[in-house]
Amino acid sequence: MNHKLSNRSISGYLSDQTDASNGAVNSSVIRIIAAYAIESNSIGNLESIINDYERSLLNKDILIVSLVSSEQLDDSNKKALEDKLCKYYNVSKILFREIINKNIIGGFKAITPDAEIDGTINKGLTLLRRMKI
Amino acid sequence: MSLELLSNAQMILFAKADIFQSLGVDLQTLIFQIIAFLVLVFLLGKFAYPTLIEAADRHQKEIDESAASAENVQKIKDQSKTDYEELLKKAHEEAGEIVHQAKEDAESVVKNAEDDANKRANTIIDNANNQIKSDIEAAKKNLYNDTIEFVTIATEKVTKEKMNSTEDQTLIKKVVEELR
Repeated sequence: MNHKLSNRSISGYLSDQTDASNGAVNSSVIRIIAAYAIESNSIGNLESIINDYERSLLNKDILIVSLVSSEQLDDSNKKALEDKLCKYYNVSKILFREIINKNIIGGFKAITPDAEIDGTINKGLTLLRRMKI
Repeated sequence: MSLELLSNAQMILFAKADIFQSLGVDLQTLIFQIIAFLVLVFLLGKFAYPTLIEAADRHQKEIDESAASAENVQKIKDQSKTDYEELLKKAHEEAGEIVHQAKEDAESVVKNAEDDANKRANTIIDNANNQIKSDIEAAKKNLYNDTIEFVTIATEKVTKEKMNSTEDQTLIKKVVEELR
């Protein structure tokens, strides 16, 4: 495999292999991509590939959101957030990648392919510290 | 003739002799004294008077010269006095001018010194005020930063201890509602 594929080509391929109804990707496809990254010595590009992939999913009416909170969001809050994001990004499906991080103390942080919504207490404290002169 | 005259004169003399004798005067002695007097007058006129007159003239000349010299000296003295007075007057004027100038210079020096002292004093006061302002600003800044740090640490600590699931969900709900 001397021919090296571009990140955009790989993310496009992944996007094509994604099930638009639930955002799922066949595990064999994931393994192929992982094998290719190892073989082409481009593991460092994976994050960039994933970002491109998540961005390309918007064309499939799917938004992937990394949701960081100190505790799991309850269903009502998650639904409310989903509704807001669907309306803003004009998509019909949102997939949450939920991450629990106690360091944020409280609130949540939602990371989309092109933005970051930080409503954590940790962020508030950081802003407070930035008020120093 | 001369004998006649002499005899006449003798006769007159004899006639007169009686008068002189009555007055106690010896006629011969008188004649002799008259002749001696005339000789003396002649001798004096011939030898003594010219010398005396010459001496007197010389003396008079010396006196005149002395007088002229004295007058000259007086003139010089008067001139000197005038010059002295003028010089004195000029010296007074110059002294007055010098004193006046010195006064002005002294006043100027004092004024300059005062101005300089005032400027320095103002500079010192300004610097001190600026330093005080700067110190106050620095103290305020430190106090402000310390307060923020203290509030941040306190908030973080209290929030960590007090935050529970319910409050967290309430906070999340509030943040979601604020999203546009």
